[in-house]
Amino acid sequence: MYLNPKIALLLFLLTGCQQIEPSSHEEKTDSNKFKLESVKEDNTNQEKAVKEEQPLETITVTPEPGIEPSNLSIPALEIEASTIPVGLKDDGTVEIPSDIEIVGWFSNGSKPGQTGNTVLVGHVNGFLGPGVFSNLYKISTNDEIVITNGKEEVVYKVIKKQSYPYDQGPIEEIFGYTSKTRLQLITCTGTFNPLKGTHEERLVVTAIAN
Amino acid sequence: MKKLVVTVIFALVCTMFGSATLADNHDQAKVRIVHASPDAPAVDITVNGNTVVENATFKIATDYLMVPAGDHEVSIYAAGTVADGEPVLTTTLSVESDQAYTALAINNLENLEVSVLSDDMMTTEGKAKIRVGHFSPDAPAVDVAVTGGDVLFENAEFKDVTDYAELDPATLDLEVRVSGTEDVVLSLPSTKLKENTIYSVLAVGLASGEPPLDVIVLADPSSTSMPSEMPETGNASITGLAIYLLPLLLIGIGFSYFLVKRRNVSQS
Repeated sequence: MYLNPKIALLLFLLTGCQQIEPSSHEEKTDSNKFKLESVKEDNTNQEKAVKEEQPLETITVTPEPGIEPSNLSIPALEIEASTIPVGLKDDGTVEIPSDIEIVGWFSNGSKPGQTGNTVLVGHVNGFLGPGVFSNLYKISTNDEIVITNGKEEVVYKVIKKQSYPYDQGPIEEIFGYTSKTRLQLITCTGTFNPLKGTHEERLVVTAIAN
Repeated sequence: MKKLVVTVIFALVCTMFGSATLADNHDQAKVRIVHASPDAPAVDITVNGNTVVENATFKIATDYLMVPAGDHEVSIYAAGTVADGEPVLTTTLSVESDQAYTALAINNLENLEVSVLSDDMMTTEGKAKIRVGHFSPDAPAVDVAVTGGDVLFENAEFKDVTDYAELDPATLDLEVRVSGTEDVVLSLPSTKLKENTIYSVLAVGLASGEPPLDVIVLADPSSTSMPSEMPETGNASITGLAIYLLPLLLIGIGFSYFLVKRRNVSQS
């Protein structure tokens, strides 16, 4: 499945001005029913099975436990860093590790290896020098990001790198639920705006678990 | 001169500490789409004629898409056939601003239909919320219970979605049983219910046949556990630091100016 961001944007822009006639709830167009002949056979078989009241087999679904991260490594950029869990501050913003060499794992989100968004935040710089993610902007698609807890590891591959104005990041896309096992690395980018007290942009690197 | 200095300081201090406002998300609704029709092939989905999902197979759940409040025409096509303009199903989805919805394509292919759920976005602080949806066309009515414990949801039939139950966070062994019996059709050991998270556990697939029963678990963080804005992950470098200190410097200058002027006044 692929969500084309351009199309999503178009949708966003266009739907506002379109007038949609409120039509009846559901209308089926029969002209293009999927042509799967086997479907009917399957259905009759199932009906039989249920009618005969065979005891149903128990199916077990076990969730992925995920790992509590302790270390992050991006071999292509020679980044090695320890991670600590971070939460939300009272003002509703993400707590950032005070040590600019350490990466924060947003523990309200998913654990590495679980479905959902795992979010890691790191400094691009501090007052006196570069932070752990100062080179993150150099990352390329397909670069590997490895997260470990000391024993197990989860390997992600970069699929996207995008910058957003600091006040316009897609919060839902980055922090909301996704059925994919997705990693989001966030740092600052763009020029520092001393009047606003922040960098103009946020860099978001998105990766998917192998 | 004094007025000017004060104005400049005031302006600087204001802009420095003025909080950034969020991107405007008013009049938007969140909609996600789930393919829960066990025998339907991969699909493309359009909203108002624009393709938003391509090649979604059974059990795929999209992320939430932001759409304007109002009515939207949602069409489901066999994957790759949007251009032919002959959808399998078209339905109108009405959404309200600041609400979240899950639209599921359900039932067997020949009876394909769309079920729209209204999604909660908040929990009581520290609690977990869970609801269960029965979307297995051939499965009997079911109960959902904690193994060896309470029944959480009773007698849910195909197409039923229970109300939300609010629970303390816990790791539970859950089981789905044929309603009123001890026959377990689906066992969900070690289901972790995390605080401030809203779970929709959707039973899909076929009780007898392929694809077999499975669950789609949508675990949405409560809006209170998501940040209000993007993280602040950088500081000024040395030059930035200097500019940071500029207002203080100006306040200092303004103050000295004031003192000097006062002294002049008192001397004269």
